[in-house]
Amino acid sequence: MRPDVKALLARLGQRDFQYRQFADPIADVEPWPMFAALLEDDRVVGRAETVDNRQHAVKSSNFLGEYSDTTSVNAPVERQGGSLRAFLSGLSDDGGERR
Amino acid sequence: MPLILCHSPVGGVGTTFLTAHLALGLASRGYDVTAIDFTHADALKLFFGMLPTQEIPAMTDAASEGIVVDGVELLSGHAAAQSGSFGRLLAQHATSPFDDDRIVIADVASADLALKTSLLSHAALHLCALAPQPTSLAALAKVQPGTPTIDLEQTVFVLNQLDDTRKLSRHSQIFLRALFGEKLIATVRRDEAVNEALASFQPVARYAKQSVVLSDLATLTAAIETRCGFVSREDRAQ
Repeated sequence: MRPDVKALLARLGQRDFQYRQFADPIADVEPWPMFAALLEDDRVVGRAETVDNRQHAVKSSNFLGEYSDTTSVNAPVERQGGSLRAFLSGLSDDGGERR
Repeated sequence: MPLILCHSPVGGVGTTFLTAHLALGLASRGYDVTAIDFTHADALKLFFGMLPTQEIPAMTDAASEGIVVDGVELLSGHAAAQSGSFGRLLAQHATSPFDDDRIVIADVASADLALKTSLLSHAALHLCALAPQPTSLAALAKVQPGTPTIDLEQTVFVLNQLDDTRKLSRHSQIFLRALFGEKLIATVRRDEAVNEALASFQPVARYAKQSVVLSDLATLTAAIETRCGFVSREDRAQ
């Protein structure tokens, strides 16, 4: 339990209050175009053809396979939810709430 | 020599805040710590309860009495870095010119890429602060030009100013966790108490004992200790 919550509950006299932190499940993470743009940026993730040779925290094997060659930063902004989903599916089931 | 270089490609993400509290955290664990402010903003001292009008000694001023606050020696490196002499000194030394017995934590301004590059070769670790904001995320491409950010072996990331009540903030944390894995070594939540403490010239630990940032910062300190292989004096004595 967060220390500020614990202190507040103590002041309210609710010491046995059941408290749980809720994280966004991965399925609810919105496909922000910024995230997709970063995943396509060689300066951040390197070149796609070499990604298989990298030791990388993301385990998804579909990580870059869903990006077509026509993907371009000048193209109209499209939601790339499918590709981002594949990327995020490499996370563990705890929803990334590790701190 | 354990130099920890704190630098982010974009300003306003809390690099100075993290520098100060990492120094305080390590000092509280018994390490000898020096924090050097290389920035023009001269804001590092504020996190130690000092006034804006109070000066900290220049790192090149051997005659000046040092300032130690809560176990952290504070020095200013801005003048030395700007003069060019410090850069030349770093270039001449194959090994670190810093004192071997102390952990040195350097706060380097985002725009000072030359100094960052000079210090990086002497650093045990580069700590890069991020914020859950588009400008900070976009700057991931600028952490170290020429090397993909996910391949940086010397660099660890800290997500600062996380706001659990904001969707983009929560999603940014999930995204960065997926992108960097264990290289995202800590997340520090946003708490206005940090600014209130600064405005009161008090450390956060004194101003707001229940602040969530304190436990987050303790996690950061522990992560740095582990990653750098630091052994505190009391652990060595056992």
